[in-house]
Amino acid sequence: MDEASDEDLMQRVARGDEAAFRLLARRYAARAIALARRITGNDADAEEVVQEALLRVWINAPRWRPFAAFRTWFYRVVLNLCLSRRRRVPFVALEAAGDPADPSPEPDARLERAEADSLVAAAIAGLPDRQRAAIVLTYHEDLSNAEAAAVLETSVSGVEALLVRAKRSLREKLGGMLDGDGA
Amino acid sequence: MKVAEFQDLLDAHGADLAAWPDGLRSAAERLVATEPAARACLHAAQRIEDLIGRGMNARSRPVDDAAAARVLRALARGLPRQRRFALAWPAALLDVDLAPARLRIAALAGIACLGVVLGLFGPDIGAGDTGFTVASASSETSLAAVFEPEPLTGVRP
Repeated sequence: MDEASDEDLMQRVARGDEAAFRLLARRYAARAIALARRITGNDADAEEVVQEALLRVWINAPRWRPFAAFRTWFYRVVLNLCLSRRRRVPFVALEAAGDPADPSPEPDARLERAEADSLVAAAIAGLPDRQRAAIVLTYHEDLSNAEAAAVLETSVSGVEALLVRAKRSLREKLGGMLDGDGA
Repeated sequence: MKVAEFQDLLDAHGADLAAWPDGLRSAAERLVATEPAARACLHAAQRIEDLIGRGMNARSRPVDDAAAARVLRALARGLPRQRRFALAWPAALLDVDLAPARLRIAALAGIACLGVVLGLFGPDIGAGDTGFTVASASSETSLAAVFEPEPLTGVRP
């Protein structure tokens, strides 16, 4: 069953197969949490969102129809839950949650790199919700513009406009870093 | 292609020109080959994508795995009832793939609507004066036939 496609698993979940659901949940939980954390900026919220999204998958599986890829549909559920939660609670920047230790050998280089990453994370966190979502879906989830459009429930040109605005804004915020050599 | 347009396309499609749509790629490659400003835009786009990717990926795979394990443990405690259709036919209707016939269905519905509109608001073709005259004349005749005295006996009905 491990090699079964998401859509095959969903058909089994629709028939009430808990094992298929748990396999699907194992497949997507960590990636969905990473996605949700980047949208909400908060570890606890991300966990709650993904748990709720997976429960929705289970509850509504009998009504699910394979009109779109499962991944696209599931990410749309996660994203909508994230955005509705962000409207209710204040945003906590990603860096406030703290980063794990970087395995880089040089302490100075590690510190410098952590600072740079923190600046980038803050710049991304400061983007408007949908622009940030477009960036996260494209660069973290490696979705094509068409797939990102399906998740964001917009057109491909809508996603492209979001990416253009987001990158323009990031260029303004990270101007000095763009001249560096990639440290 | 101008440099400003190239910049927008870089933002929309990314700094990997090989992944661009065919029609745009060759024009972009020509511009990069001939225009230093376009090369600078491409370099800056590659740099910002490196930063974004690094910022995204530097963060905490172990943290995500631990959180995922907690979510999976929570789900293992028991799942709620699934929401099913009370009747079988709504689900069966959802399974019907109308995609191949959509055009014909739309045409049929359009013609039906046109028929209703023409019936309600269209011209009264064939209901002119002649028809009504004939109808009224024939109805007068028939009434006369009913109420006139019998020609032979003179008895009224």
